[in-house]
Amino acid sequence: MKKWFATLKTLIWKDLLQEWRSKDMLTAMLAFAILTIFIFNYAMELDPRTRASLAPGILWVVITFSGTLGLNRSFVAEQEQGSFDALVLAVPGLGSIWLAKQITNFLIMLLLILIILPIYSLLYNQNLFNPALIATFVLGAWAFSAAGTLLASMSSQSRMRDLLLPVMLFPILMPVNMAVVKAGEGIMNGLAFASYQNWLLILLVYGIIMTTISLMVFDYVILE
Amino acid sequence: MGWVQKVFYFHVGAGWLGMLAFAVAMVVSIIYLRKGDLKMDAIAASAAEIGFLFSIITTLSGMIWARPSWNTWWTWDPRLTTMVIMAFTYLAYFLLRNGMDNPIKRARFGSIYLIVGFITVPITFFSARLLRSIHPTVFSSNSGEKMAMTAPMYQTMGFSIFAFTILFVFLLILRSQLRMEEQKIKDAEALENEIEFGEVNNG
Amino acid sequence: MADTYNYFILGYVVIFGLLIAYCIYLAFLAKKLKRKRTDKS
Repeated sequence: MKKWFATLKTLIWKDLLQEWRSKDMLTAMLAFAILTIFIFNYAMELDPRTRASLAPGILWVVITFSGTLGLNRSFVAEQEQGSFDALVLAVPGLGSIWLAKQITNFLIMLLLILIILPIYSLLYNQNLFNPALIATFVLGAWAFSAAGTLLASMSSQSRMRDLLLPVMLFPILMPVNMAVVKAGEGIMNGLAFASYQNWLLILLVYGIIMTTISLMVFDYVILE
Repeated sequence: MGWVQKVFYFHVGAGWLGMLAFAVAMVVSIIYLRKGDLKMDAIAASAAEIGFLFSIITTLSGMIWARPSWNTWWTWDPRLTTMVIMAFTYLAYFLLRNGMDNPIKRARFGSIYLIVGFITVPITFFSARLLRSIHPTVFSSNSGEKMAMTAPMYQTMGFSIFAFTILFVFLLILRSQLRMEEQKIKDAEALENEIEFGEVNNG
Repeated sequence: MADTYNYFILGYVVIFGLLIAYCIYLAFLAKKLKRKRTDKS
């Protein structure tokens, strides 16, 4: 058991290190997210109150789109260098490979959220540092990476690669989108926790289901 | 409501078929993953194709029924949203399949996506239901306006569902057989191309 | 009654149109496969 954890940590560290060395993906995601916020500016010239309740939705769209960029990249390295075979030989238990990828994607999205939230607050003079809102985004990011990692592992092996991932991912992600935006709305409008807790529950259940399916099915994705 | 009510019976049957097809496709996909029999994959893909067609029919006929009844072509109602999301899931499934040259990987990935997709559809439906809905609910009574249905209407609807189920089985068998042959020929041609041009994407 | 008649026609056209189009597509597919089968043999 200890060995399994150690392997997992190593894999996560390897993926993070890969990203950190090139810093490509993170920079691109960040630039994309900020640019998207600027683009949304034209749609957001509303009175502050309306804009405030729209904020979680807009932010989540930005995070989702940037997250998709990141997901696309998470399997490219293995794809191009054919290192899947090496990984399979070196690592006992393929589940840890998938889990490592998912955790890496999740951490990257967390970083994205951590940077975007203050920037958005700055640009729109709106305090978004609401713990419930942050928790919602974090939960959403986890659900997103659970579904996204599995789908990215498949789309990266098809001919269309990058282009296919959003088409595959967004229908599957609908419940997550709904839940994050609805919970966010409730939080921003100061409603009681009980009124939006169902949505958070949906996020949790969704993430668990996706993770479970991925672990059961990942063999079929990687092995010939 | 007038004449347009006649559309309703096809709409319900088509909607039922769209969902039935998805369920069948998912079950067959699971069987494929366990057994590895490519015939199952052909059945799953055929079920998905038929389901796609009928979810489009459902959506369009629903919109046509909606216009005179609610004075709008569209509304953000759980059933409508879910049906369209389902159609897009089918579409993504076919795009995924078309992008894979290796028949085994294609079957595997397709199956995985169908399973994941099938789970998403009810979740989408029930979470959208947490919001208010104006879609007439014939069976459940908690949300939406209840449509006044008389006994003959129920009978017609029941018959419609039954008839559509038969239609589905018939189309499925027909389409699966065609698909298996089609797949064999396509893969043989792809192999020839590979030998000739040396290009193939095995993922 | 008559005011929704047009919608009814439209609905039926769409539904049956799509269904028939699909059946024609299947027929074409069957014909193409039969031709390929006889070509190979």
